[in-house]
Amino acid sequence: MKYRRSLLYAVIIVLVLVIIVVLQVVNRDGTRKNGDGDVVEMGDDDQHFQGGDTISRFGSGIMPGTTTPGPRELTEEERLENEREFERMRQKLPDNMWLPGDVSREESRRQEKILRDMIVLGNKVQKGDATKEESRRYYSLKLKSLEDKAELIEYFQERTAEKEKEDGREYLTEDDIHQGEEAIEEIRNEADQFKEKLESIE
Amino acid sequence: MKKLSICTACIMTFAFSVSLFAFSPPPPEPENTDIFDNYVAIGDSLTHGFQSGSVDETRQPFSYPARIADKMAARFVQPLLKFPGFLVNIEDVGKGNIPWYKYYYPLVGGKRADGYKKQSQLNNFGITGADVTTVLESKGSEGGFYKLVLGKDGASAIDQAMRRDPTFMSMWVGNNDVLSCALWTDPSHLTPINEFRQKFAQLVDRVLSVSSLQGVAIANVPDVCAIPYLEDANDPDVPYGSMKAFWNSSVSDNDEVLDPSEIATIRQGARLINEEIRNVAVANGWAFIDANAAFDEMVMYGHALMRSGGNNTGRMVTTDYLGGVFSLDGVHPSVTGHAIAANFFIEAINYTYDMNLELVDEYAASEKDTLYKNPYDPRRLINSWIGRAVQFVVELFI
Repeated sequence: MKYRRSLLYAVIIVLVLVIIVVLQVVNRDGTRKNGDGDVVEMGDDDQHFQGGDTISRFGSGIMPGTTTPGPRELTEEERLENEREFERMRQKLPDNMWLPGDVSREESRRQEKILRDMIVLGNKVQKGDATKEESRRYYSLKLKSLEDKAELIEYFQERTAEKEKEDGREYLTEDDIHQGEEAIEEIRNEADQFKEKLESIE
Repeated sequence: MKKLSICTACIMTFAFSVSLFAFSPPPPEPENTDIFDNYVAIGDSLTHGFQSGSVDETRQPFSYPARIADKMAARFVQPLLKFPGFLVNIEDVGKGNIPWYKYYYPLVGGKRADGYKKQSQLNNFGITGADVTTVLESKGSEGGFYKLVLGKDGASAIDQAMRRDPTFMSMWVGNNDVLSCALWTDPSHLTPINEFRQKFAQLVDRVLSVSSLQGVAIANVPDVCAIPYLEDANDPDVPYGSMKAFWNSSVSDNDEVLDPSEIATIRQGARLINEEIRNVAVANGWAFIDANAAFDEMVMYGHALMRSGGNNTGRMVTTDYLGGVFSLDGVHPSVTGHAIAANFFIEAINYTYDMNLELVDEYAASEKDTLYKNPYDPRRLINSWIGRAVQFVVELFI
């Protein structure tokens, strides 16, 4: 009887010890805490990270569950949602330079031309070597790029608010919206400078 | 009797616990000596963790300084940018891994994941686009990546880094004093050597003024004319041996290439900058990483990935586009490339300071590198965001 009781005590103590050891290991390898014992904050509330073991036990900026570089792959449902939303954007904002999604050969050739003009003409304009026509083309592209960017920010703000009403999910925080307003103001100021430059060429 | 039972239980528990620990292999403990108590990194996009057109929180933890810190067992707080970052990673665009509404964040200029709460604890002061002058002088009010690393009204990178009372520091600057020549295919963007010398001397003086510092690792500039952003122009209308940007399928103007004489000018400029960096390292007894020589060797022979013990795995990566070392912008290292860069630093640190830091397992890094395991080639299909990402990279380095 006495041996049975002592065996019972032993089992309980061993179980407690095992739990303590396991918790230590989880804390060390799971990087729930960093080297100073602070909880390492997630950067993203909807866990856009891939899971598994991490590369660090010492808080090298590693977030819980970050083991593999890069984001997780989207689910089939998310991919379908992306397709629907990109298509909607193309209908609502035709010809916007920042529309995601289109990877056709024709679009690729168009984008390469824009890229070449932005870089080659940009360099010429910066060095004062550009002709009037080259300067006009470059400033027009810069202006369009800025106006389209502001347009797309506003689109995202409106569309995410609509979606939030539909499905109750928070897409952008108040802080995100505020940052967007500030960005639009900066973009419009920058765009005004390019408008002035364009006018000065005429 | 009860006391006897408890006593017996304790003895059995002790015996069991001893056996538990005796049979578990002890986990390898990384180095943690005083010299590595507080490590800070200064630099540009390479130090920042920029890859494939973007900096973002899902890849910054795998930047070369974070890898070094990991082996030092040093706490390393980084200015993580909320996914998808600023701007966007070309691989994520191409593979369709960005939820539609998250394209908002790069449009509004990127967002710090911590809301700047950890500003006073930062260890990584790598800033995309920074050169020797801006590391020294530019503040957060500059906007863009300066704001995202230094804080809205934050002091310069060198000021903030020195305020952290570092015991060890790595410094990889100078790349952007040469790189813009390659990105703009124009050698006139080279920082004049006298200007570089003056600013670099000021930077070094600031570093030497910090009494807490016990060690410094400093790297020079690799050959920017050998990065995969540039490829043979292979066009009868431009001089033989000219190079063009990888995304440019047909050259229509001499301004779109670097001809052999321009390439020679850039290499001569880089040689002078590299001499200056080496002289400073030697004069101060700092660990010197000859990134230029190491990179030249990789360009010539490729690189065999190593395990953390230093054994060669036989898996080769190259500096070609999609060769494993570089990311999709053709300028910045991939996840695997960062692991390799970290090992160049670790080897130099071990040699100079008689340390025994374990190497990063490059093979394991490549196994987790989604670009290496599942390559994506954007060269034939440049969509709007890939085009904007390339343009973003080029315009950052004016």
